[in-house]
Amino acid sequence: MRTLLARRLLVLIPTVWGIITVVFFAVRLGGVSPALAMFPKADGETIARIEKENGWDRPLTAQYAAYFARLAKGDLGRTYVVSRLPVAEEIAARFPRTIELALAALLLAVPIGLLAGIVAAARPNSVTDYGPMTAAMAGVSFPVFWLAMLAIMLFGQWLPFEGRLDAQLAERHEFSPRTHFMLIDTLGNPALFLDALKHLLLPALVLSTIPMAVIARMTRASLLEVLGEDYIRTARAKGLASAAVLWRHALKNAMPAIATVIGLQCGYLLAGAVLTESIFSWQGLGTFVFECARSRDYNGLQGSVILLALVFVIVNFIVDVSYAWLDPRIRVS
Amino acid sequence: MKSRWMSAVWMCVILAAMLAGCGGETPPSETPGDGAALSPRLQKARALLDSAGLKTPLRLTLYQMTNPRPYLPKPQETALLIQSQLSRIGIEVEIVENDWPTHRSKTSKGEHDMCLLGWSTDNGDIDNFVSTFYSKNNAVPPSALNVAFYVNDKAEDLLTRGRQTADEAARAVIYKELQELVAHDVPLVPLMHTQAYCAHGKRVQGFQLHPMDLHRFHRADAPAGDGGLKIVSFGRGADSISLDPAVIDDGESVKAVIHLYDTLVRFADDSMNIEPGLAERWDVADEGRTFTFHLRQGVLFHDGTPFDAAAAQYNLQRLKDGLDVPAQVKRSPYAFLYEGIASIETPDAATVVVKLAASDVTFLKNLAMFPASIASPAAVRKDAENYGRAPVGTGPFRFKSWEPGVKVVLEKNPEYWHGAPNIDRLIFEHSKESKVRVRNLLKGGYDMIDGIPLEDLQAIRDSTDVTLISQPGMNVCYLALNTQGKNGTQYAAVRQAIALAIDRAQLNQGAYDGQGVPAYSAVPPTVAGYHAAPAMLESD
Repeated sequence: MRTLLARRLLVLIPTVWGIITVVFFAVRLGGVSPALAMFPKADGETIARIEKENGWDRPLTAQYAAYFARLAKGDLGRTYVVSRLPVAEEIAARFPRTIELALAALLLAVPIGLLAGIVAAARPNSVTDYGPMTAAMAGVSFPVFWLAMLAIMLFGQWLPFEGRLDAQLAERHEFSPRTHFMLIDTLGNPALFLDALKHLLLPALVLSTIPMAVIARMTRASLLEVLGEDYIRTARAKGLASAAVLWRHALKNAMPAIATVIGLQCGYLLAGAVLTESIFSWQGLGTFVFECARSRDYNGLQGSVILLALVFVIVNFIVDVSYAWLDPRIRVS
Repeated sequence: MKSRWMSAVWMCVILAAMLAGCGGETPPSETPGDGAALSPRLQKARALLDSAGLKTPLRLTLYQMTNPRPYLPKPQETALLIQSQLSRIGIEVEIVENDWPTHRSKTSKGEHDMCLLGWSTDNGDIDNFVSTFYSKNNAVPPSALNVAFYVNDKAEDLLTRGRQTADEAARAVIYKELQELVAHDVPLVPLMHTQAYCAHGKRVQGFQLHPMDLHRFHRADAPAGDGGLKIVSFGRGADSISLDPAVIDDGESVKAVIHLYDTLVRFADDSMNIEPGLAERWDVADEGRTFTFHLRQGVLFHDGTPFDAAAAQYNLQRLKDGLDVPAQVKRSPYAFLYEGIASIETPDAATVVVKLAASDVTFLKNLAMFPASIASPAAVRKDAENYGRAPVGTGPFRFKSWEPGVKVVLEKNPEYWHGAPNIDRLIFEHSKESKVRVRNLLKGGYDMIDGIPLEDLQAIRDSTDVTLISQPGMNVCYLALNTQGKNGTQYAAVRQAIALAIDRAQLNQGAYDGQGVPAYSAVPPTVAGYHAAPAMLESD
């Protein structure tokens, strides 16, 4: 297990290097000077100044080396259009917001999705199968913004649906976020903590629908496959209770496939959900990437794309390792 | 297999329900298509078009932006209506859609035959409209605002004279002549003026929307909540970008900036009149070329440094020349308004003398605009790069905090020279989706919002908990016709024909929900010097 872990970790290094390289050259494929792409109306002098400040006037190879040197110092440059803040500062404020929302959505999606899939697989083609699976079908099919508006109309009377904390309440408590994980920042103050929790509820619920549905369908499918195998029939023939067969024998073997799907969904969630963030005014990473892309904000786009790629790499790493933990055959080979 | 069927049936039911809820209305068409008799107005347009002797059907491009603007809430619908209106007189319109920055950059280079564009005033003066649209100085690619590329010596002469004439009656005569001239030449077809809207809840008292659509909270009040603080929160569509007045040109930054700073002279609370600001009084000499400002004494910046003549001089110089600004900014996007300043002198600590190269009656109005805000020189010099995130002015509110992307918080300046504000805290929150923002206002989540979608106006009018404020916006939406185009718009007869074929009433119904004000001049009726030329009025 330990050598496997070490091996996987070593593979991470060239992967990350590759990602940064690809992103670096990809954003430069446009052929237009980045400064000109951002400010099509600016005069030559301004363009020259922006290019000089970012080193964009130097040859590509020199830029490439300089970019790694700056990256090592955590310097991702400054956004020019979106906010004029350093990109690292933007990400430090926005990524925690995205992580918090993604984790909350996963916390809803994983248990409910798993349970729905197991219930459906336990009695295929019965009411307990059709019910959850119809809901899951709806879950993957409905556009998120539509669901979000529906949720606001249904629950907006009782639950807040914009932002992460009531701004007036925050002012009255002289509160300002430090880590930008709102649930952590408000820990010492019950009134604020409760308010932050309430703000989290609706967006997390809406965001969880797709992963929940995908997990439910995957759980059902892979469980049904495992349940058709010979050793399950043997277990049943031995007189094991069907619950024990399902939970102990079948589920464990169905888990690697389910873990892959959970991992993938986790990656998508952490990449930021533009629509959900936008409707609930969440101001996470997704909105930032979207705004950077729209205004051709080079530094912002480059920094956040690298971060998102890293997220996927790390999530994949965790999924890989969980395979080994779930399936001894992988550990041995 | 059965489960698939069941879910498919469900999906159909739900889809049908969704579709039933969003059936669009098609605006009534004034004249039927080909074959039917044309109205006399359209017959005249047709005759004008024929007189140009061009190959028919005439094919023209219409450039249109995808992003709604305050003066153009539904760009797609507007472009489609114009396309169908022009087809009645035999013009085939090809619509070219671009996002806002691309639209601006392409149209300012003159790629279009026709394009949709609009303007909201900076200072409420008629010159701010007509110079923008008709001056050859603004027709220089790649940053042209005169996207008709209209160059006319007579118009240029009228513009210069209008700028140098102080007498209101004499000015009106000059601008009447100009508006008659362009109604005949038709470099652009004025389409619509819109209303400016904002809405607030019951907690906000004594709020008055300034005619220039400025949300000023200096005089407003609100009841104190738990903890005794009077807090007002404002939901708007984007976060501020910077709070450095010499850097910005986005409305959401301006909203906060006008509370943080003062200007030497200011717009009155309820009109476009100029009244004393940081300058107590001023003398004009030298045929309107020399302004001597006598400054208010004892005013302190929020950082405790004193406001004096040197501070005023520094800020005007900074605005004009781009002194101590962040690396990516050369100078204020509004610097062109202050280019006429020849010198700024400070004979003593309480006096500033500004000399202009030529007399300009819009100068005081420009000085009352936000770019001419007076910032603490010490604070700017300390860290020009990041000054926009730690602003220091003399205004009624001080900067308190800024959560990037989320909200800007200002707090009361108890020592304000013009009387301390009633409100303790003013919060500007970022609320991305306009429909959600309206819901949150109705729920009481915000005290005030702007950027209200037309289709939500009724819900706000119907609610007893919120008040809708609307007033004529000082803006115009227009169809610019490229006078230096190559496909027909270079001929005055073609442009006149287009102007006649435009049906504003239909545009208003189809693309403005009937809430627009048809425009017969590029100058809004609320601006002094407005004149609707008969040539334009004829079209309706």
